[in-house]
Amino acid sequence: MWKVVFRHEWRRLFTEKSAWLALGALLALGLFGALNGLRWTSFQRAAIRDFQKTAAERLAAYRESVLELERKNAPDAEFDARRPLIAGAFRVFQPAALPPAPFSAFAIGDRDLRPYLLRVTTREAMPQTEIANPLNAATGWLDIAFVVTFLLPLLILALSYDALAGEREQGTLALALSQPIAASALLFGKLAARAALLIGGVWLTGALAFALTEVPIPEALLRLAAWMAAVGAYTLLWLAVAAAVAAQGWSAATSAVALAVIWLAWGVLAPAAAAGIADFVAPGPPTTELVNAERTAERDAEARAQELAARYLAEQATPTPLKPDDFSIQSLARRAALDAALRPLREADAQARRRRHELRRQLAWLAPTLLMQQGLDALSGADDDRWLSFREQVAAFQRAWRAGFAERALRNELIRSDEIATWTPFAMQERPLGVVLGRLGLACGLWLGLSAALFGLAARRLADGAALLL
Amino acid sequence: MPMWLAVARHEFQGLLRDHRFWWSCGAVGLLLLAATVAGWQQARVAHRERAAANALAREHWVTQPPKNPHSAAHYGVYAFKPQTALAFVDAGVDDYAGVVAYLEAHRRNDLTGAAAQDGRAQRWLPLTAAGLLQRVLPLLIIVLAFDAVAGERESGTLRLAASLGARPGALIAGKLLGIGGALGLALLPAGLAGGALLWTLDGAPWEAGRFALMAAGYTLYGLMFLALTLAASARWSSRVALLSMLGFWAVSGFVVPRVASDLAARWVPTPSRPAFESAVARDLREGIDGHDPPAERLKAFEARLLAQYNAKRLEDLPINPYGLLMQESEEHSNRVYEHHYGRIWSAFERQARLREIAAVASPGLAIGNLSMALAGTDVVHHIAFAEAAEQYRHPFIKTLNEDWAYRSTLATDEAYTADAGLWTAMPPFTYRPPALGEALRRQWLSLALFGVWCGIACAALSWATRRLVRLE
Repeated sequence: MWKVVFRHEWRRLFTEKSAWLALGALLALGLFGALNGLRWTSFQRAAIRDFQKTAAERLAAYRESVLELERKNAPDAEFDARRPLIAGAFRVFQPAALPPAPFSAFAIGDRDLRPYLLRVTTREAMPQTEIANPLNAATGWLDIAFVVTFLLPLLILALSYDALAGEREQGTLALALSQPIAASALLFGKLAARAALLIGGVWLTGALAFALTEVPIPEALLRLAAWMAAVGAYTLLWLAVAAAVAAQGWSAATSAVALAVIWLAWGVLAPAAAAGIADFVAPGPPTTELVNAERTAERDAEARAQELAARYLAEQATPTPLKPDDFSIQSLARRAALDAALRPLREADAQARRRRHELRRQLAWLAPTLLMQQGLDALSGADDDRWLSFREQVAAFQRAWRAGFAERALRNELIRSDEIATWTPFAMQERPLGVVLGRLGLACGLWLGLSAALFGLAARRLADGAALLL
Repeated sequence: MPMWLAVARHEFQGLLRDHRFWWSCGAVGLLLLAATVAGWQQARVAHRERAAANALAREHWVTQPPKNPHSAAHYGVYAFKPQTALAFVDAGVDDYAGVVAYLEAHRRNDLTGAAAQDGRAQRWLPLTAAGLLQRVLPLLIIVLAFDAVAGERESGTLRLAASLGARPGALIAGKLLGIGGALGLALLPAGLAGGALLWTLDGAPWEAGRFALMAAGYTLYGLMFLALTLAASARWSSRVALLSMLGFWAVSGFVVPRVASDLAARWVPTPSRPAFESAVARDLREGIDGHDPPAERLKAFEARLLAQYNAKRLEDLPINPYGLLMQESEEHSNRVYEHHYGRIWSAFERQARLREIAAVASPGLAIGNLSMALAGTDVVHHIAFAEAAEQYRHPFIKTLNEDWAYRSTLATDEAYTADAGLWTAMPPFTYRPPALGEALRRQWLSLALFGVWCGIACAALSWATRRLVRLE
């Protein structure tokens, strides 16, 4: 019987201005979001190209200077450009970049906040923070993920709040229920029509956005399929919420108020609170402490330069022809002392960052919008997991880079012009897509289960108290 | 008793007896109180940390060992942005803008240490008093007032009230006063707590006027939303009034700010970091590099110096040319950075202006801009701090270079060091945020549009009241 209701409702929806308005808004905002995503992704790609070009130019200039020294057969000197420490710390850098993933136009996430370029030298991996207006950064982008995560539930609730109450207030509910149809079948038929309309609308938006912004490679198509599945499950969840409220037998206005409050509390306040809790539980050392601790350690290293150099040399297995007061040895000893002094604070900072992230991931299971946002960000490669993995990979790369140069610096093995082209650049190792799809699949499972429970509750409530509705 | 006052009292008492009122106001009031206390705690800690960090940075500077003044210029100094007291009410862009300026020779560094870059911020909803007042208070008002008139009309009591002599104007005014009064009473504890907590923070007297203006602004904002809701309620059925106001709330509160920011970033783009650095490096190459000057420019500089001191050799100069060379390089880089950062600040201000214009479609944007300005946490204050730090850096580095230039010669260059006498003689960095008048002057458009919204709300209410008269 619900199919009859579905067909009737489907036809009726197309005669209603509100349905067209909702579809139009969805399409317009979705495409606007897609263009924003495309713009940011293009911006990021251009920035990465510029960064790599600068590094390549610097490397080429360095190679020229080494060639010149080789041509002149210049003798080694303390600040010779061929000295590994001089090269690694001052003359060249490795550009480490987190490239946009396939499907990146579908979610910008926090990509505009997190450094995606790092300048790796033997001294450090320095984040290249983007020049962004903090006001825009605080506001965030209207990307497709925002439209789906935030605005889609609002549209669902706006189209569904009066699914039963509207009929009752018009006096047609009694008439409908006088037919051989259960109240739950009437409600579910009406909601099914809305589900078809909205899911179809979002899928159409997604397909158009995909055609506008993405290259249809198999991986991107797989991500699009996962995106569509997630959107479908998420839509069903919010429709189930609308069904549970509709089954209470409240007036249309009261139902609308209840749904708006649920959206605000569950969809907006809960994610914000989850982030607040994570920050409260794992704040990490404050910036002021990190900055001044570094300066204190630098002062200490400066004051004990000779002692540190002697100790450093005593600890090394590699014999060195350099004297303890040589700049390269002093630099290596100073860096080792700074690392040792700052390690506890830096580890505490990294642990707090990881802990905050873990807490947000765990708390997301309580807030569907947060879980959806995380899932869509992950599909587009804009999630925290990928960024943290990037930072850790860069840190490991920098350690290896420095260790290689330090080893050669101790042996005072000069850089040769013919080896420069063979230096291995940083390359991001991506996680398997299955990891992302697995978590998204679990989220969809949770939403479908929750939807089934809410629909079941609504059906039972309607069966128990259908008469109350009349 | 005048009719409007009787209606207000009736509405007020009715709401106070309503459990839904206490549940909804209690929830929002508690949230507001919790956000205020948590914000105050964070602001207190941040204020203390940054003050201590500034003191330690100064100590690091004055207690550094004797060294060449230019080495000291490379060593540099850190300046930490002070936390304004009212940041606990409205954190504005604080989490998204850096808090530390590293001031050193040759280079202007961006502020660093923004919490958002390290995953310590969220853009869902700022969990501050201002965030809740801007986004959640309107929903509370809509929920409480959408059927204030329409409900009476639909139940027939409006006609009854009219038959008893209640004029529509008095009825609407009474409802505005009654609901507003009840809401004010429910939210008063959070406001009082905010005022009391402010008093415990440093800089409270300076902030008290701003806090009063902020409180007045949010009261007006609430009344404006209430007036719009009552107008909708008087004009339409309760269902249409509710839906239209909910739609307005969602679009103006959650969609318009993002669309405005996106369009502003699109129409007034800023360069990427690598593009910015390349442009700066290109312009720097046009000047002289103190550490690695091109031969012909170095020769020209030396010739100028020899002519100025009427000397034949650099060794004959009564000063150290290296110090002046460094300062020459510094002056050029200062001009380059001023040019490039000037363009960035200009872009930021134009983007902020476009966002202010978007307040035409969102009263929340207007009050949000004003609130940040009053709290000293808007982009204008961010730029003011960055510029203050840069204006401190110029004479700071110049003093060190000139000390090197005028207190040593080429003959004594190797041995010359400055000591604590010079370090302590250099004034510490101090920062005074823009005065209240200046902060508000920069927000004239937001102020004007907020006024327009208040006017629209009054006009809508008046129009709906007149229509109510005709309907009778």
